Amino acid sequence: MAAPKPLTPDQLYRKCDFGKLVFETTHDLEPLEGLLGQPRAVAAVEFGIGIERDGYNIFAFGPPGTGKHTAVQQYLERKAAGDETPGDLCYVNNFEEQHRPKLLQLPTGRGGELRRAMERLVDELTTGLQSALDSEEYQTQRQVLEEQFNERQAKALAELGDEAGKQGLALLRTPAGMAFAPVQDDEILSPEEFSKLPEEDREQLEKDIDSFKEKLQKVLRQFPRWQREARERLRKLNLEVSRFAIQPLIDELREQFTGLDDVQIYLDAVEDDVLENAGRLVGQDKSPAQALMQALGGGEETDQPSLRRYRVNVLVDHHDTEGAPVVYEDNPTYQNLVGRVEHISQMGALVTDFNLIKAGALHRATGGYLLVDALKLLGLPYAYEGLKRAMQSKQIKIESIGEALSLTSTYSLEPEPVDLEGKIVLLGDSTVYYLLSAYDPEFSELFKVAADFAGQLEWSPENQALYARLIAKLVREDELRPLDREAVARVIEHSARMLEDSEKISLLMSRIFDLLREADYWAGQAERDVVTTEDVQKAIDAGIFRLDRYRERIQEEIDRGTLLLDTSGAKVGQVNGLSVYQLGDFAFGRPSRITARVRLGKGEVLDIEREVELSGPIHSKGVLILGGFLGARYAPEVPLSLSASLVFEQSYGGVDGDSASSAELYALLSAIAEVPIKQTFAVTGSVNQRGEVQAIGGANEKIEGFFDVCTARGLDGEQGVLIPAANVKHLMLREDVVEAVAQGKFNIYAVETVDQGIEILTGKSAGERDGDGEYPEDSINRLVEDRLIDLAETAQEFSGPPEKDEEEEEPKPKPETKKEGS
Amino acid sequence: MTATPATRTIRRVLVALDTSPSSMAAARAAARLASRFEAELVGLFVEDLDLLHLTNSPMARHVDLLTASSETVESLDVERQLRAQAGRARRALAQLADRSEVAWSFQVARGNVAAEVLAAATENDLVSLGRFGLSLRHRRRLGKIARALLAEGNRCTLLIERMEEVRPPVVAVFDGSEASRSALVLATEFAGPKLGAFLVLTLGENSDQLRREAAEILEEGDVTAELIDLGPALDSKVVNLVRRRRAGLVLPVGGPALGEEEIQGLLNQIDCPVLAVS
Repeated sequence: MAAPKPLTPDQLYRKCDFGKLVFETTHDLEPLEGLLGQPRAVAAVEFGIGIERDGYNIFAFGPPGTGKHTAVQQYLERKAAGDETPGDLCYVNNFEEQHRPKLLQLPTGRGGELRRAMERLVDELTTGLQSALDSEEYQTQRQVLEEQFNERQAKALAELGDEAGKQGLALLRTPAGMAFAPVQDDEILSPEEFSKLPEEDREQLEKDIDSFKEKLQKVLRQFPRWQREARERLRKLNLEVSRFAIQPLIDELREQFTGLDDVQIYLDAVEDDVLENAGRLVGQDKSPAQALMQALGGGEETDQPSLRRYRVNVLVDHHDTEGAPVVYEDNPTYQNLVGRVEHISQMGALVTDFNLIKAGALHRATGGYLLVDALKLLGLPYAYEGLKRAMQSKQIKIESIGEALSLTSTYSLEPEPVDLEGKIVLLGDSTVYYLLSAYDPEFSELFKVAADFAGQLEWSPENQALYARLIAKLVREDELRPLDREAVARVIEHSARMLEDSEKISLLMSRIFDLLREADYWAGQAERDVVTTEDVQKAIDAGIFRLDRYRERIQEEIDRGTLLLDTSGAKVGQVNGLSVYQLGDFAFGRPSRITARVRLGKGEVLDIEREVELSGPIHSKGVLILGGFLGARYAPEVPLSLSASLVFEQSYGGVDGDSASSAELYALLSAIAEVPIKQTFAVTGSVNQRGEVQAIGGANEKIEGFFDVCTARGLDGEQGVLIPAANVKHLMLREDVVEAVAQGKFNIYAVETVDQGIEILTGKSAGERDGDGEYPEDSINRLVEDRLIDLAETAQEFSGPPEKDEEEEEPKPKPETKKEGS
Repeated sequence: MTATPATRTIRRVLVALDTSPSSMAAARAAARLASRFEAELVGLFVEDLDLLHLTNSPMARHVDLLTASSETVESLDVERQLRAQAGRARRALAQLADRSEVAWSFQVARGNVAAEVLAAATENDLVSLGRFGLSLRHRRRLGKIARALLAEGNRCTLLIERMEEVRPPVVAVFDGSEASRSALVLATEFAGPKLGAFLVLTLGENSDQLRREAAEILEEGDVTAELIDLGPALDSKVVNLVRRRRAGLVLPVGGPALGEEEIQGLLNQIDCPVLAVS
């Protein structure tokens, strides 16, 4: 097998070449309209919006920053502009069941009109009623009724008193009632005088008193009935006077809202209620509770509670909405979605009425579109459940969480539910989408349309040109300085580097947008009118500088020798591995020493990281593969009799991923064959049981990490990195690395197999089996195999001659049996 | 008859209280007058001895007004109820006095109600009382105490039927008697120069003389008034004028033209506040 050659500079970085696309700055480019690189998502959104069936709501998912929200919202707004605007939603008092406010669905804009009309009516009602009930005529009639009642009572008592007087008795008023007493010469007889009367007279008087007492009781028992009759007459009077005063006012409203049956019914109810409560409305008949409230300063003088009942609570007013509403709820709490009933404090108690019903996002969006961030929705208590319940029942029912979960049973309002129409669009990442799909059976029924937003785009000349127009669009929308041709190219190259792929461009537009803004800032600092590649690079470097303090510290500790790492010489069983640290949006590579030790054993490859539970499952898998590789490739007919230990030196955090498995294998082979490995190299790549080196992530950061260490110690042309051949397409290396490679100061090898890698690392041939199945003398593989056979033989010697089994002993004679019956 | 009016100063205003609506109206009017004349407001509650006798009597039969039930009432119960009533009356008077910012006192007496009020009236300049009190007689007839006060020639008696302001306009009847001169002086003192409407009704044969005398008193009090001649006898004109103008009526008692029967007849037809001056 031919040893691989170092990669050439052009394999390390893909330059953006616009070819025939001619422009000087982004101002020369036509801004790109619509979404770039999202045909699948666009088709899904179009389908989801177009299909008028239950459950065809949309879940738009994809990597954060792909512009899902903006794209979906803009798309919905374009679509909604041509849709019909839904009507207004109002809550009004239910005069029969106050705790169940009635819903009025009115044509667009008429909710506010009704509210204003009712406010005007209330003003006019109170004035009209006040003057009617204050009028001389009404007061006179009312007084007459009261007088009649009082007279009737007084007359009955007076007649009884007169009748008693004729019998020598007086009817007296006592503090709590009445009593009869004998009189003489207009004076009440004292007990002494009474006792002096002849017995006959006394008996007669007592008889008379008893008789009058019964008559008095009879009279008094009639009082409540008379009072009821008087009240009824007064009520009729009030009714007639009030009707005369208010009917023209309400008739005016009836005419204004002709054709709206619900409003007509409501106005009928208002009229009945006003007539029923005319006295209270003008403050003539305050209830004891109201009077107490006002006396204690708890009532609102200008807004009597009784008048609130005629207000109209316009829950949703679409008078200035064009087309269907598109609502994004950025705080999708349960109550912000389904609405709530607020309370106000009165005299230390919390009270409510239909005026305190507040709309939720669903109310505002019904008949249109509602966008909600899925992660926020799931993070807020009962918000997702509330949304689902509304979607399933197709009704928006306002109830508190406590009521919805039957946790509280306090008296509250039960507003008439609102029909839910339109589409719900959830926005999130793919993890949320797949988790919901897997664990919530209802989810798939409610969100049948998945709009999958891609995070990357093929880096083709066509897409590259479109990408340049997209940049032009972002620049114009945010009023940034235009980018020159080279700056645009640098942005596209950085976009590919963000993806770690020289064949793709990133669609994480939020990060690109940030880069454009920051480059614009640096252009401003440099007093340039056009953003150049220098500004873009400054923005990239400054961004890294802001975040790379930790990387710098690690680098420093390597330089100071605290973290041990050789970049020269050769050592047995020791290799430089490469790992990547991800700190938020910033990733950097760090070289680590990996060592291997072997001895006679039972065929175990011991991963020390795993033993101390510092390795993740993928790392452990990689190490176990090494055992499989050794057993299958070398001396398969003899037992693997070594005990090997592998360790990431000076690693005190967790290690995961299998990208170090090839490095570990090189260290292991070196230790077994006792052949030193050049420490001028660092290695990355995973390996399979067949010895093939497989692609890994973070190739750029890893190479740059080792390059920085070598640069600090001085590049000597011997240093370099081994990467999997499959990772070459991912290389978008820093300019200084590419430069060093071009000057022959640093080398990057792309290897396909372990044999290629070990040859570069040891300078010895790996060796292939010949026709006799033997590896060539002094090849690495031969040295390894020989050592393994030696170990196996040694192991056999230690185990001694095999003991004889019982089966191999001579068979014992069978016991004789007695034959019977012959 | 001298043309110089007798001046009269109101320093103490007595109100007889029994917690009936009518007596509460009288208390309010009394407070207003006390405030106007910067007088002391004196409340009187009489524990009716007849009631106390009644409860000790073996033939007492009490019927509860709210439930129409008949129960035997012990004198202690009645005393307790009377004390409670007196307490309510005292609180009501205190409130009115505070609101009107006048000095006040409250007395509780025990005895015959009319006799006690008459006795107290002699120590006060004006007595204010409800026209009907707790009387169970016909509503339109003047109460026993009011009648007694008028009969005894109490100097000033204000009769109030219901809760209403004692304020102008005022209609005063002037018959030339000493009582009517006093009444007119008092009316001018009450009204003051800013009075909106003041009507003097002259009653008697010599109307010119009566008009002159009345005009002198009015001039003395710096009050302008409209003068109307009623002729020699009282007729329905007074009732109509008082009703139409919703005025308070000032009446002289004991004069030649206004006997007890005439006054009783007049009072039976009107329900406005009436100030009877002897």
